Amino acid sequence: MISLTPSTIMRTLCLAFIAGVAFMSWGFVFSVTVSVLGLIFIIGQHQSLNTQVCIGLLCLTIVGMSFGLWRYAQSYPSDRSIASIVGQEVLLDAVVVDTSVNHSWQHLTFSDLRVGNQDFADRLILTTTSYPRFSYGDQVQVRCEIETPEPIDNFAYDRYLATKDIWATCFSYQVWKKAEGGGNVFMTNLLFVRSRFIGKMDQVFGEPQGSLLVGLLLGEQRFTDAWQDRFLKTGTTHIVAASGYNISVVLKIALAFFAMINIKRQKAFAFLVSAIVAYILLAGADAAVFRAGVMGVVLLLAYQTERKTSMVNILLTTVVVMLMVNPRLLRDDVGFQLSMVSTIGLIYLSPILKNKLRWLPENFVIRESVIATLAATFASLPILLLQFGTFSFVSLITNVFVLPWIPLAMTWGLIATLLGFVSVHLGALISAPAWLALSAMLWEVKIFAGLNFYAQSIHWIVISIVLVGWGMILLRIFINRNSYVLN
Amino acid sequence: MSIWVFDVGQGDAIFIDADVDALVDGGPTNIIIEKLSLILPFWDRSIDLIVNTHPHADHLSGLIDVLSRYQVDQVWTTGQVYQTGASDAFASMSQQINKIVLAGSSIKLQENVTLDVFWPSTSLQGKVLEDPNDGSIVMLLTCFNSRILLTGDLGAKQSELIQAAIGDIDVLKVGHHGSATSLSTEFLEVINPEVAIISVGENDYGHPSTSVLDRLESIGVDTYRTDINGDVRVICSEDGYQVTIYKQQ
Repeated sequence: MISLTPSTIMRTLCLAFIAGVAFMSWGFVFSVTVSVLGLIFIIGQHQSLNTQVCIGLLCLTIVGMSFGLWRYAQSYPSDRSIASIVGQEVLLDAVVVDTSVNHSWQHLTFSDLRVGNQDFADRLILTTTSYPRFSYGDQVQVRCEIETPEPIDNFAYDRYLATKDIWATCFSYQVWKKAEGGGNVFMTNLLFVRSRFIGKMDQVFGEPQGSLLVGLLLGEQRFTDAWQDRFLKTGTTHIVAASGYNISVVLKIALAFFAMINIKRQKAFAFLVSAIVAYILLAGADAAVFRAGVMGVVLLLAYQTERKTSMVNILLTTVVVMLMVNPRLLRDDVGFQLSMVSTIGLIYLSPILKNKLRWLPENFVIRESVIATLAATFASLPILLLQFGTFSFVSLITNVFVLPWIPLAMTWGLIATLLGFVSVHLGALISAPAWLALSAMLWEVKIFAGLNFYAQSIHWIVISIVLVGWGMILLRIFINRNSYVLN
Repeated sequence: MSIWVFDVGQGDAIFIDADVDALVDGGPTNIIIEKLSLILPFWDRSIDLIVNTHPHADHLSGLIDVLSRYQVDQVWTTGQVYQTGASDAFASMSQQINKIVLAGSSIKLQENVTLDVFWPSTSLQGKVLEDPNDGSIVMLLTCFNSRILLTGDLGAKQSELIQAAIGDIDVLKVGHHGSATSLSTEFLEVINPEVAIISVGENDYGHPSTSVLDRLESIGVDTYRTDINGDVRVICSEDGYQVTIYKQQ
């Protein structure tokens, strides 16, 4: 008698859970689409189908979806949310858990919120002047009016903040530091080491090279608006974010290193996982970095196993675990979406492209850069178009020119920074190769951005046509998947 | 030897590229680091002297970044008290290397190049001014035979008190971003500049004012504006001086 395999049971449960979360995120139509596609996928993989199997699949779908619906419902603000006192001017006690500086403003994320005797369970983001600077763990008091976050232009800022359990904002010039050390001891020490590291890097490198290096090594985004615009126009923003891509570069460097000292890939696995952990820690170990790290491990498993079928299970499990932790990511965190689809692209499309692009030269990792960029760009195209309505026509060429510099810039940048702890002048002198690589990357980005081959506010009709074309290419790849394996 | 008046938006940041190099104010943001990185070689991570003319954020904030990223030997301030987060941060970072200056203070930047302070006339250490601009450090850079006046944000009223002592100059960095009260006709007639540089960016104050621009034009002064011309560089040598502009795309 034919029965459901453990793999099918798991896939069905995972897809149904994602469909449940999708239903809560977007509503009925999308959820049905996801469910139907998921079922087609499962049925397509399941050669023999009978009534018993169908009933089994249906039951599993109901269980998985219910769990997805329930989990999303849990993510709404509770009665103890600071959002319940919106509009009131209050004297708020809180602990700083995240900081960022943008132009002349400092954005502080608070937890452990307390107004008078009332405690609140969620978080709040405060905007204040750039000085005095606050750090993780500072216990502060602030007088401000609690406000509801609003969308900014086309960006659903309110929904994005909700992914971080932030339901209210406030603005104040009056923030008083009452004490330090209010945060987690491990994070306090970790962020202290990180800020020392960034401080030293800043002493060794000028600008904009320093900002590029700090983005590459630590995922810290602090470029000026002019530079951010250039990265956007050339489709290279991903290299300075703590993204799945960034992690894969760390992996490639580690792989090259282990190959150099004759350690086999299998044996190096534990070391590579350690490298990812080190990167996660250096990048500040926040949720986004952690997710990027998990995707890095998934990529590593893909390199390791070479069995595409088990990769489906690993990917699905990863997505489900991330959505269990935070179901709002699916709709409202573009970083999560891009990280996910580019990982899928790198795993599934790279081997196909590798076959097709054998004619490209291998020198200076040109072929790998083209393949990686094509795979990631193709996979993320719908998200880029639907979320931003933008497309960079020079993305591929810029990436091909920029990516090969990354290993040199990162490795030598790290060496120069570490030497900087001995002597800043020594570090700066030794930094020459890193400075050259960083300057070359910036120069290339600037040149290509200057060409202005960048489309924004693309019309929905154009987007629809492109997406249909995209879907057809994907379908062709899916239908011909066995011939690719044979190749 | 050259003097750079950087385009740093609405603020002031002037770099004197000499044997002893000096940065006069740092502008409102960390964009000054990018400007310095463009003209200093990558291995040069030190600046000999920083001058903060007065503690307003559009002159001071960038200096905090410079202090944290460059090895700085000496900082000149007037010592006037102005309690803001940025001012406190700057004061605590520069405490060990801070020198209070007033009229008469001077430094030799290289052979034939000196920087002389003309204002404030008395020590402002520990004082709170109603308008911090009135306490701006005013300096005359003498470079071979060329005389370049750096005025911070000093207004016309105070400027007239020192015009006689300053005398004829060649290049004027116009005070207070060319505001309506920054420059009087009397002051202009006494110092008689050939070139004026206005450090200004997008702003809601109406800087530079048309009255100041008209006043400069009426006496035939070549005027450069950082918001229009970008970075303005004055190169000086024993043969005189020359002005060039660098507009970033």
